[in-house]
Amino acid sequence: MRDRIVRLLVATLAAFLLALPVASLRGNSSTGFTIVWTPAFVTAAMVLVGGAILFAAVEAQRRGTAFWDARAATDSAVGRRRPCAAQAWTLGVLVATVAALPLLGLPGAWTKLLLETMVFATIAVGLQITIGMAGLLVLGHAAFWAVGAYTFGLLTVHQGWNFWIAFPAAGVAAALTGLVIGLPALRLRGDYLAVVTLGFGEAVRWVIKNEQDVTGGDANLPGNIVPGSFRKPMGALGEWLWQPAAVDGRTFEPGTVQALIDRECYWFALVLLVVCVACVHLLAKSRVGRALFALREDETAAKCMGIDTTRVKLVAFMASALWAGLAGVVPAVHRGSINPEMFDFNTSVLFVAMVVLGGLGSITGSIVGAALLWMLPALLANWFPEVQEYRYLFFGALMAAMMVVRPEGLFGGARRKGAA
Amino acid sequence: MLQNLWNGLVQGGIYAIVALGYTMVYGILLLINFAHGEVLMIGAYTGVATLAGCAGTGAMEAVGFMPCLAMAIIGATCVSAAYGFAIERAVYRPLRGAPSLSPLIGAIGVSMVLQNYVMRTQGASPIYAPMSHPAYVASLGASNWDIGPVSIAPLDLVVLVVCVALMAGLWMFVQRTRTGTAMRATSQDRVMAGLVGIDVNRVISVTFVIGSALAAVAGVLLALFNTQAKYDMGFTSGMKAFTAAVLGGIGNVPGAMLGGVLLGVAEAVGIQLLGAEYKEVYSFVILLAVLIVRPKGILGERVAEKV
Amino acid sequence: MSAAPILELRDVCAAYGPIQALRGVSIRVAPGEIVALIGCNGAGKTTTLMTVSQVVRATAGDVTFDGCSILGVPTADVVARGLCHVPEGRRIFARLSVRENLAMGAFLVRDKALIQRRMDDAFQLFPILGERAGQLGGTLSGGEQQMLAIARALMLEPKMLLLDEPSLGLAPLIVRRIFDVIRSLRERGIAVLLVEQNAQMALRAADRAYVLETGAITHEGPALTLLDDPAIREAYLGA
Ligand SMILES: Nc1ncnc2c1ncn2[C@@H]1O[C@H](COP(=O)(O)OP(=O)(O)OP(=O)(O)O)[C@@H](O)[C@H]1O
Ligand SMILES: [Mg+2]
Repeated sequence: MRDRIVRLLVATLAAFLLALPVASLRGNSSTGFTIVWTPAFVTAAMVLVGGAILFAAVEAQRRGTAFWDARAATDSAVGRRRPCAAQAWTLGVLVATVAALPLLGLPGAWTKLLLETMVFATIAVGLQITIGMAGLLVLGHAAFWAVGAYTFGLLTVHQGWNFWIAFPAAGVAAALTGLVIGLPALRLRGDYLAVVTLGFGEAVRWVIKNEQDVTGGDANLPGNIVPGSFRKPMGALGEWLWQPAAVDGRTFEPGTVQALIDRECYWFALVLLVVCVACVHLLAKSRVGRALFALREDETAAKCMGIDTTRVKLVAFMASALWAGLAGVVPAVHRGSINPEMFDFNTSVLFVAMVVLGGLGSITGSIVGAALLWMLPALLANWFPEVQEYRYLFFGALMAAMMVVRPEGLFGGARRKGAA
Repeated sequence: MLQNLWNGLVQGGIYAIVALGYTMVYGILLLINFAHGEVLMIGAYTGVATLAGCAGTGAMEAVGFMPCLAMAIIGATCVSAAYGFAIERAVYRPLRGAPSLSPLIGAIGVSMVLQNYVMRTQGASPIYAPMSHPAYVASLGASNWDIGPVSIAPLDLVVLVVCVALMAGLWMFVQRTRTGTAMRATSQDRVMAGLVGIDVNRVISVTFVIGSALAAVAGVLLALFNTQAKYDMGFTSGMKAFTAAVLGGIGNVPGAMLGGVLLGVAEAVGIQLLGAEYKEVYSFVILLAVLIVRPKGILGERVAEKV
Repeated sequence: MSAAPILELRDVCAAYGPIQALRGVSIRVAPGEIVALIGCNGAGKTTTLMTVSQVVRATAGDVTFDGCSILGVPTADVVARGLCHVPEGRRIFARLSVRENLAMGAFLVRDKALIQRRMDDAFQLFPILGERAGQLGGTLSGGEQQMLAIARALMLEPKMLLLDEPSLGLAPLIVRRIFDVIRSLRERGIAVLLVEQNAQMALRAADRAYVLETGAITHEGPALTLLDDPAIREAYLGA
């Protein structure tokens, strides 16, 4: 205990000293040097508080682990198995409730927030395949999201394709992009993939920015075409799904159209999430899934067992990209426009943070991670508007702290400790 | 064309000293230190702030630009080295021996924190080096020398001289000194290094301190080159320097130097041939190409290791 | 067995995650004594040596060297106290020259002249290393690497040496050479804890021996007694 307090105080002092030259010292070519003390003190205070919370969390976790271990031990001693059917029921009721929410008068802002969360959850669950199951870090996942969104946008707006063809096309385009990037990178040590995907994410953003004639550049796709035009060429099913879009958006009163679109996109996103969860769950149980877990634990051993590691990794990587691509359709339809800044590096890190927070390998975890990281700042911003500006700082700190304190994440299963 | 090559060479010198930091850390820990670019950015901020402050207090008028630049570089070096040391202690050391994904994610986290921290405390807009100050104009702002078709700015020469001196110094350090040899031994077999009595933790700390100090110098030079320091400068230059390290063969010190220079030149050629629009993308394309054609890099793995 | 052992393990346990590798191992080595540790693959011999040099942390028990507990002492400091470990698989620094490898062995010695003197000794002990002095460690043959590994450990003039399978993968002639060197260590007063698959050779070279089975000591005694023990003969000597 005393040892921990000393360490915490040392860390606080170190933070203060490190903050001084960077955050507090200002040099100005007309006024010379000034020192603003506040940031240094705030930094030190944050480290003190954060560190204390961390220590408390570690302590709580230690006790909690003991509790779960004891429970599991008694379970196995008395031969009790916690029922699986009950879980399925809970899940069904949960999905039904979420689906019913808009009908029960969920406010528009909430519908939108939940919808976005579900999109992120879909992406995070998909990303779970590469990061959680195969143990490969992807730092440019936003690019696959972008590829999906832009493919969909371009196909519908510029080519006038039917929604139901453009939608899967978005996923396929993202998956194929994954193939192109994955082929060279996946043959190598896993961390190359992190850098290659990072670079890829940036490259995609630059292509979108620079090829203005096609993508609209920094301005939104569809540029100067009327908002809502993504929703037009949808075919019969699509028109049914997005009725307001079948009629020219301008003749409606904007507010009511948006509410309708929100609600329908909400259901669409929910269906997408449920299907995604089901697919990833099945994948995890499949042969490929087991190969992936083997790969995460020990790549060399997996190779020796006759697993074609590159191919399995490629499958995982493409499956991840596929879900990101499909999820890209939702914001395109919902917002009616997309722009490159939605898909920057921060977004990619946000996805990783969701997976990491929730727990590597846990589908439930990814959904909870998405919900926490997307909804919490948005809700807090109602009271403290500056929360949104600091959230990436917070996400970064959370990722690092999580790795040090609880690398398996909130919902991750107990992973082998100690061994390299 | 020649002019572009020259510019690329100078730029490449900067990449090279940043790449050294990546390569040294990777050599020992097999970890891509994603926070390295941010350490560079912090060095750049410290350096530019020092320069600006010197200009503001009148010190620059009194002693001239070069002493102020030296002070800025020394200040930046100390601050960055402290950051490098602290990052290793706080995040990487507890994660040593964990599955390789954990330190990588931790590194991303640190990088996010630092980038956003500087953005919040220093503002999202860049801070500028006092490049119009009379002292600067008198020393480095003098007109360029024209050698044939190439026009060489005094700043270019300063950058090149500093880069070459640093690379030579590091080379001597790694090859000749006790700590340098310990570093090489540690990068080849960490456990065995401990078994011959090398304090591995100390070696790793020294590696981070040296790498960060080099990054700080690169950061200040880069800031002078671009006349400004911005919170996201570490991100882009980090990516390029890492490419340079991979190009030369990651974990390989001479490789990083060679890779840096080659990348700078290749980028210059790319800009010349294909335009500056995709300046930020060339390094990525080169990275992919290297990974496809020769993933070990140019100088990687000269000796096959017996198991 | 003398009263004050140079190395003593008392009920040492060690684990890799859920795998319990050592379950209460007790070993004593007297100064200048050669002690063999034999056992099947996976018995925990390497792990035992690793817990002595503190590469692997013991979960229970105590390890004392030269009268002081070294539990939790950083590996480098254990080495500084005069306990050198030649690990399994040689682990030569592949991209350092033979000379640099030897110099690394004397990393804790700061006197250049002394290092040079010891290096000359090493070249006398293993002349082939002298011929290869400038060559990179990774390019040596397996036997040369093993010699280099032992020579490297001797550079520090330790009080005690931990040797993990020094005969692994070597031709009989070289094995004999290596064992001659091990015996010569007794004259120099260096204690040795020797782990070997080649039980016959090990028991002939050693004063005393321990048999390790799935993480626990099952037999111990003078080497020659164990050599005659029918149970041991059957299990480890293939006779
Ligand atoms: N890094 C590790 N992670 C997990 N388990 C390990 C590790 N190292 C060793 N083990 C396990 O510990 C046990 C003892 O291993 P150890 O290497 O000590 O055996 P050994 O007696 O040296 O065998 P050998 O004669 O084959 O070298 C084995 O069951 C092994 O699988
Ligand atoms: Mg062994």
